[in-house]
Amino acid sequence: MKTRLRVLRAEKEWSQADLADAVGVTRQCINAVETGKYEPGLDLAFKIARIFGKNVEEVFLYEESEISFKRQ
Amino acid sequence: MTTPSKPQSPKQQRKNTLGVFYVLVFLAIGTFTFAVRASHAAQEALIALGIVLTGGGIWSFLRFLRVADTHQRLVNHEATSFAFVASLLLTLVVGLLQRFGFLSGASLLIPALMVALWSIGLILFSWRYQE
Repeated sequence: MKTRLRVLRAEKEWSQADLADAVGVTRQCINAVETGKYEPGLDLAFKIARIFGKNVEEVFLYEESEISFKRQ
Repeated sequence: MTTPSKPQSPKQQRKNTLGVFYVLVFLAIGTFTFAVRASHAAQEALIALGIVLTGGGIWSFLRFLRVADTHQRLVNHEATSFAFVASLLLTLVVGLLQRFGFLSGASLLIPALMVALWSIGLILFSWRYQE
């Protein structure tokens, strides 16, 4: 799964800590999501998307190859 | 520059509960250690105090898990697994050494060792998710 989180955050000029406080998680969590080391749960994904006024799919990109791999 | 609205930051709450957990656990370990060496009259009171402190430690740990976010819970889960396996191995080694007459009374250190290993696990697995 890829994320546009870093880009969206930069557009708003928010630090990782600002976003972390807004969605109620640690800065380390936001960092791990941005670097792709941690995939957020639905709850956090929706919270992040709402903060940016976007849909989940506009923030987190689920690649087709992952879907076809899981269907096999 | 705009900043997102801050509803309720549980950051301080997490730090506090973790701090309370460490204080209570180490006080409980200290109390139990003193209880072993205390006179019979003081022993019962110290053991009762140790049990209360242990209960407080468990309560603060559960509270920490409740306020922790999903990422912290994952790190905590990995750290707990690490501490469990490491403690198991060390307990086996200590047990074996005690059979041969070494390290008498070392079992008192096992709870402290488990907390120390859990803390090391938290640090190690937190690093894993950093850039």
